[in-house]
Amino acid sequence: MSSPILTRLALTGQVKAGGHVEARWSAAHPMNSGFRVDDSGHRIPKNIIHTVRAYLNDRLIMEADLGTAMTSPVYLAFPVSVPAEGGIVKVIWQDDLGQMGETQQRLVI
Amino acid sequence: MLKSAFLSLLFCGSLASTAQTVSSEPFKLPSGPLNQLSGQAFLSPALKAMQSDASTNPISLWLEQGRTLWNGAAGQPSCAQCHGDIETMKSVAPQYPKWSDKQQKLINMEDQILTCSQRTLRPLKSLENTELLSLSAVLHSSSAGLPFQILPNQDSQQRWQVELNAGAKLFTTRIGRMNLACTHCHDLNIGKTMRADVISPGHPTGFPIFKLSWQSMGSIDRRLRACYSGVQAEVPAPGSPELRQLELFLKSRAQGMPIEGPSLRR
Repeated sequence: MSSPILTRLALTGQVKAGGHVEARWSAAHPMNSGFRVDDSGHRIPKNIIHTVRAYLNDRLIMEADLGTAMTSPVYLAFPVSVPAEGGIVKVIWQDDLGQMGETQQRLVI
Repeated sequence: MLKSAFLSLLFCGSLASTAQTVSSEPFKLPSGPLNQLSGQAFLSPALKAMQSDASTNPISLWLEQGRTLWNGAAGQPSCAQCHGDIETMKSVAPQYPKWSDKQQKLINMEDQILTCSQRTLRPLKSLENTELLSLSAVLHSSSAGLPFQILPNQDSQQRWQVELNAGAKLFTTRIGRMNLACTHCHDLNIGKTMRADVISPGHPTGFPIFKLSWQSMGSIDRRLRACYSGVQAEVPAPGSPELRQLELFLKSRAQGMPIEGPSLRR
C-alpha cells in the first residue's frame, strides 16, 4: 500500500457573515491517466480522483466530476458563502481504486 | 450530472483567469552580475505568486506531512522524541553533504534521513519516498535564511578534498551526446535562453524542489539525474557517488548564499 494521499484545504479571504471566502483544495494524488507506462513498459492502470464533493454544514455546495486531463496535485478553487452562524467546510474525494478521503476547515466569524 | 459539468466548467474559467492576470507581467532578470543569483530570480511572476501563497503552493502539502511526521500523531513514535523541536535542527541542513566516517562515503541530507529512519519502527524504502522528501522539506524550510556551511571534518579533511576535486572535475567534463559540461551553460551562458527557459548559475539553494513538469517533489539527486538525461548522457543510479560529489561541489560553489527552503521550479 502506498502512503496516504496528502490533501489540504485552505479558506482564503475575510470570514464575514453574508460574505464570500475562496476555498482552495489540493491533493497530491498521482492521477494516473491510464496512458502512462512504468519502467518495464507496462501500462499503469487508470486511477484518478473522479469525484470531489464539498459540503457546508453537511449541505452539498459543490460537486465535481474530474477527468484524466487533471494535473497532479489536483487543485480546485471555489467560492463559499459564509452563513451567519459560521460552520464547517468539508471536502470529500474518491478515486478509481475506491480510496476516499476527507478534509475539513472551520469557518470562524 | 449537468450541474456538476457546469461547475467544472466554472472552475476551468476561474483558474484560467487567475493565471492570466498574474502572468501578464513580463519576466525580467535583475541588473548586475548574474553569477550569484539563486534560482528564485529565474521564476516567472506567475510562479512567484503561486509560491508565495501557502494556499496555492503545492509544497504546503509536503510541509504539512513533514511537520506531522516530525511531531508525531498522539501516541505515535516521532522524530521529535530524539531530536526535539524542529527549530533546534536548523543548523543541520546547511552542513550537508558531508563525509561520513562510519559509512566511508559522502552523504547528503536525504541519505541521512534514510539512514536515520532505518533505526525506527518506520523504515523508509527509497530516496524519492514522499515521506522522506517531506521530512527533507521541513528541515530545509527551518534552515531558510541560513548560509551553506560546507566544511570538512577535522580528521577527514584529505578525503573530503578528494571528493570536492572529483565534483569540480565532473562539473567541467564534457558528457553525453550533446557533449556538454555543466560549466558550458551554468558558468558561460547564464541569462541566455535555452528552449523556453533562462539559464541560471545552478546554485542549489532551493532544494528539495517541486518541479511542475514532475508534478511532484524531488531531491537534488533527482534533479542532477535529470541534467544527465538533458545532455543525453548515461544517467547514474540514485545515490551514486558522482551525484554526491557534484552536490558537494555545487554547494561549496554557493558557499555563503542563504538556503531558501523548498521551492517551486518549472
